[in-house]
Amino acid sequence: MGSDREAGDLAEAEVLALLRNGDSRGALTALMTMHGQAVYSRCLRIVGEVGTAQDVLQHTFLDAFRDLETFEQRSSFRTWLLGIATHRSLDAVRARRRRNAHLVDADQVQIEDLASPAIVSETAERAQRRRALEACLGKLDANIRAAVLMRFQEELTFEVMAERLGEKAGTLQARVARAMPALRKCLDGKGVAP
Amino acid sequence: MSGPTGELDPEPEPDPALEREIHELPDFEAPPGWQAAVNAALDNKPARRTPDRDRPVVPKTSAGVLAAKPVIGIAAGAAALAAAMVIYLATRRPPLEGVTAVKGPPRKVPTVALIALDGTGQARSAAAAVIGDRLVARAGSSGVAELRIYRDDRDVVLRCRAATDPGCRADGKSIVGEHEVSAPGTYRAVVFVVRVPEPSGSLSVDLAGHDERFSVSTPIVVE
Repeated sequence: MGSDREAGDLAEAEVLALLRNGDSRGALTALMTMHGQAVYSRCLRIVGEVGTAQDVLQHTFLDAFRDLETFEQRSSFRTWLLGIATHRSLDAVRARRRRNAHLVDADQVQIEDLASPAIVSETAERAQRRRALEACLGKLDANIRAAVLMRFQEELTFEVMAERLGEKAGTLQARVARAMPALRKCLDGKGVAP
Repeated sequence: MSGPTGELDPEPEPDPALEREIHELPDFEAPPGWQAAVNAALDNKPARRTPDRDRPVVPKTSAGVLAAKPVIGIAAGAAALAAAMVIYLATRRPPLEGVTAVKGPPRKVPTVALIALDGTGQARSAAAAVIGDRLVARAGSSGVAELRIYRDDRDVVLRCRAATDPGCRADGKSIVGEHEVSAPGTYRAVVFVVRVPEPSGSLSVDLAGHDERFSVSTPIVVE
């Protein structure tokens, strides 16, 4: 079927065709199938708790369904959904901060303790690096973590990130600039180096 | 850092190896049943539409069953979800036309979508197709035992019991089946989560004869 990009474009076309047919539920189903895992992963990496991540995942798709028929294709469905998920996840983190204001590290999460995906072909060394990276990401402030994920997982520009998050591009760039050496230092401290 | 005008700083010192590692972080497996929970919430509380563009601004309130507050209170959310599930189970009714039909408990319900592609590979905008088009059925692969496309609720024109079956492939987390249309009729895709007997020659018998869970797509009519 050609490249992943072509497959992704075709999948987007499928969803758009369903929307044009007036089949919003079918389109939502297709979106949940295609992007559910990526959205859940974004939620989990930001909120760090399975239960909260699942709540945010569901709310993300309920929000998406509400706005699906007015989707203007200014971005891909994936980027759109991840944007909603990021907003919702940061809302959840802020709520947790308010509840746990007395805790110094209320923002930190421990992804390494969560069920991680099984990758058959992954070497033990690579799995160790991945777990270490998840752990180091979890030590970042949630806002910084979200910026790093948007920048390097979605490869968004800072300008687009700024529009999506309602913040200044320079602020986001500064967050990422601060995060990368911190991540590198954290990984070095764990004895792994990407 | 940015100045008071918000102008961009120079790009941070690149760390391509680390950036690549972040980019390649794999997805986590979402807990089972989440799609059914979303469907249950929608079935029990019609969503309100807001005229807005595709900017992911999250409102302070939402009409979804679960989305009363921006704070996703775990306890409140779980209680609302449980209530929605109970109502859904108690009030399930025959599927409406144009809505993906779901039979069985809402957990681990498979999902399936069906579209038609014309000769150039473009998706058709109506639920109609012509001979020579390709029908593409897509379902989440997790837990799926078989994907079928039926013609006229009678003939099975495609079976995907594995991604390597003819006309079938894996695409990320989905299993995709493609069928080139050679006869007129009404086509539906059906996905099953457990092994089912050979097709009986009647979709209704195939569905009704078992307790297995399944989903049926919106039909596409080929003139």
